[in-house]
Amino acid sequence: MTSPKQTSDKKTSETRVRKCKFAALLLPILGVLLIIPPLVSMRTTQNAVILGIPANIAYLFGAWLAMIVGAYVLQKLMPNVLTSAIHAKDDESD
Amino acid sequence: MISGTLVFGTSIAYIILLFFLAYISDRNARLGKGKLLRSPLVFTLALSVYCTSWTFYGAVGSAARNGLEFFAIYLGPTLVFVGWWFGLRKLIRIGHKQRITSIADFVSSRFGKSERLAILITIMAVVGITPYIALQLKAISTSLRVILTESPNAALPQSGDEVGLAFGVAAAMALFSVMFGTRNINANEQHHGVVAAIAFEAIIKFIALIAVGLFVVFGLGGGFEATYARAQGVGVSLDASSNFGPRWITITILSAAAIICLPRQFQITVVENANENHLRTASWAFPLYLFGISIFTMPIAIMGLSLLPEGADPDMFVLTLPLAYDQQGLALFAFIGGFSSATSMIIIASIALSIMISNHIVVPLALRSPKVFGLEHGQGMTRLLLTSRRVSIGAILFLGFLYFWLTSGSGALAPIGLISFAGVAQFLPAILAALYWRDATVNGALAGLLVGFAFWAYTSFLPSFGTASPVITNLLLYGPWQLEFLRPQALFGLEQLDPLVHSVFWSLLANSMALIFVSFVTRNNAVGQLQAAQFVDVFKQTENSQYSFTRSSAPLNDLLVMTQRVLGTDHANRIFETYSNSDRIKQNKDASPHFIASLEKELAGSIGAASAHVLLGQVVSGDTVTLEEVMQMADETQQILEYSQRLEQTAEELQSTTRQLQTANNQLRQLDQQKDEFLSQVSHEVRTPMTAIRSFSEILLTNQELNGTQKETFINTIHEESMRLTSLLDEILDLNALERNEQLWTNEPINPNLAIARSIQVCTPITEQHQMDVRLGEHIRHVKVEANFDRICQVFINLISNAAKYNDADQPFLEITSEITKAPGKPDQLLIRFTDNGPGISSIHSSIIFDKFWRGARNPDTAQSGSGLGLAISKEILNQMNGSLELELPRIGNTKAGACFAVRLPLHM
Repeated sequence: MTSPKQTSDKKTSETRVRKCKFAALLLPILGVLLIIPPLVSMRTTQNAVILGIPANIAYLFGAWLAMIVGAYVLQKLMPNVLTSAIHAKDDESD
Repeated sequence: MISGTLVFGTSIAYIILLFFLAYISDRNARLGKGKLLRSPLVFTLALSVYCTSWTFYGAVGSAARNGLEFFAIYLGPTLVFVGWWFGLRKLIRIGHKQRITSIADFVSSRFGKSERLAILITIMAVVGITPYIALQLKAISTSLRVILTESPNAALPQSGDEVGLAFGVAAAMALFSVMFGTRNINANEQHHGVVAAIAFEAIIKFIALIAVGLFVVFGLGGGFEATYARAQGVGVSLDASSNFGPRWITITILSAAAIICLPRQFQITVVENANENHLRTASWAFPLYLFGISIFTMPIAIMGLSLLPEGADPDMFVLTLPLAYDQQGLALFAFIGGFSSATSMIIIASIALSIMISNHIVVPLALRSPKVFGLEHGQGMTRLLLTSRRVSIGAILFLGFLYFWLTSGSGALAPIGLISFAGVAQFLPAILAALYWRDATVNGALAGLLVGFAFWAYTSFLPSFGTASPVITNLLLYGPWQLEFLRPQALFGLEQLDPLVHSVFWSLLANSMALIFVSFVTRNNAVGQLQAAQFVDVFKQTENSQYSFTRSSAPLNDLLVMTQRVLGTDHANRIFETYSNSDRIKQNKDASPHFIASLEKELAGSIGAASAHVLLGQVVSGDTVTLEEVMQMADETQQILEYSQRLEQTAEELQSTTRQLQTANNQLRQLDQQKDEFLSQVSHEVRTPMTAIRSFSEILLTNQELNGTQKETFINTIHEESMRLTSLLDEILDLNALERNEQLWTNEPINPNLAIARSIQVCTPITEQHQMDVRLGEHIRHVKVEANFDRICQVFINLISNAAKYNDADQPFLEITSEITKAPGKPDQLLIRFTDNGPGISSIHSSIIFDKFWRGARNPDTAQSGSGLGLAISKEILNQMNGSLELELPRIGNTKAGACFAVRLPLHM
């Protein structure tokens, strides 16, 4: 017997898995959009500077860092549905 | 000035340290210790084998020459890792499930364990990686020369010394890789020691580059802002228009492909991966590592261009800047960092390639002609694998050296690396099809790879020899046979494109089109179809969903000998002990198909799927049928089975129909007979009164002299006989109606005692005539049954009058009793017994008394008094009341032998 709370927990986690999978798809797509024209080539002036760093370099590092942070948050939120039986065994033997 | 002794001493000490680390790690891994070795951190650091000396030295050169382009080299892999959930995760899951040993194994395994495909990919990989190895050799030898001569102006023409140096480096690297990578054959091709050493090198090269970066930016440049301010002055292009064109996108695609398709990356990401979950950490940590290692690339390039004399090789800025400012310790550290990045690449790449060569080229050859390879005595497979790998490593490094020598080593580092990237990117369509397109066929993959490889070789690999040979220079300028539209760098008139973009465009387009088109027009064989499902639907499968040799059963002994040849005695014995502990084997000396399938995977982990399939096929061949045959057999068997099932079904149906017909026929015959009997009986019954009536009426007509009394007697007789005839016909009609289940009345609750009383009263004349005593015995007083009063009286009267008519006892009596009977599952009934002390009914007659026209032995006084239908009618009446009429054995004790009729009627609830 599952209590209503357990059922709703299960539902919540199913929704979360779905959302996470969607985010996992969205993240690389957004990443691609960030680093290809037109977004990447919007700053046309050579002398534009952000925090002392040329705008294009700052933009690339910023986009790059955004992807890294996105990946970090995603893998934290992503429920652990990865572990296959093989690895479970491996980990036990450790 | 750094002395040669110091440089070589440090390098050798560093290598010894790496060996020590690898040794300790291997030992810990064998002892089951070393959790750190299987940690996500080590996995992530090992992945950074992506950052070779191209990153360490070449990226700065690339930044100095091509501005922001170097970013794309790292953004591609970042995208792949950020999207790990959809690509790498599937790749790793399949790798673990199928015991994949290399990228060639992966593709060949997916496409029906095709040997041809594995060989093709191996050759392509070796050719494609050769420039990359040359790049490392060039980096090490150039950096050695720079640090030893202390000449910042390193853009010197190629000297004979440098070729010798490069050869020495190649030889040392070969030795180093052999000692590292081929000390033993591991079950899963996992090299824990090597991975640990690579992870350590990742830390060294990172720290070294950061240290140089900090020194250059803060020690020489005065901070990031000041450093970047010099950019315009030295001609480094940072604007969007010159940086983010087609070349930017092409390099991003190439680098994204390379992080999967480079044999060494595949080795680390898939083969050496201990746990799928490590990908979670790597998904952000590996891009972060790339991010970190790129921070100082552009500033070092700007400072190098700004501070060093014109003409200095930008690829060596990392080394020459510290040297120029007398930071010899830092320069040595930077050298070790560059050395680290080159050696880690060479070690892993040569191990990965040597595994491919030994598994996909040497082993298949050895299996075909075992005598040549010294395998005829069933031993030596392990030795063969090790030897072939050692020789392969030597050959790969020699090829790298050859490329370095032929291309004069004059090119910059980054373009050489990009040629390799474009080469291995040809695997990408096949890999994507393997992962996501079920209908991709082995011929499609072969066609795509061949066409892509040919285009790449013609448009990218061949032109790289342009400086070495005037023939090739001519070819580049005018095309083969002066055919301009076939110029390698302007194929089919596609000019004004960057050579790299041009090559990648044509090769990948042709590759994909060939793959798709040929896949459309060809079919996979049975193994191919099964493997396609195993790959594409890897997440839908349970652990045990694997197929096996359907009919296979091989002698365990043969299998053991074969496994020992490949995996070594200890490992093989362990596998077979585990198997023999499961008790199935105790009755059976042959291995089960399931075990053979799992053994195939185990072997595939060492020698690749295609070779394992062939090898096992040799032992199992005695009874092995090919999968196609099995499928065909299964099809035919299924058809025959269905057909015979249909036949059986039809036969059964026929039989049952015949039986039904027989039964019906019998019933019809019986009915026919009954009808005949009935007709004759009715005729007989009717004839008697009719005869009487006719006789008496004839007498009356012919004899006029009869007196009045006589006449009256005769007329009475005629009347009586007509009455009897009428009542007989009435009864026949009644019985007929009853038998046809025509309900002529409705049942209602009635008091049976009243009916009994009424019947006794009606029968008083006849009972008095026979002086029969009618007694009421024990009976239920207040009770009601479901019946019709008149009809139940008819039954009772019949029973009482029968008892009176046939009782010849001295003191005849009839006892009527009643009781309630309960039977499980049936409604309660009232049982009324009519027991007399007459002659009884013999057992011969007991079965026919309810038949029509049956009469008991008649009392002479009452001759012809009944129609013989009374009991038949009574029985039918009671049937229609859901009751019954039966003849019971008379109770012995209180009555002498007589007849006992039991009437059962349903109680009214």
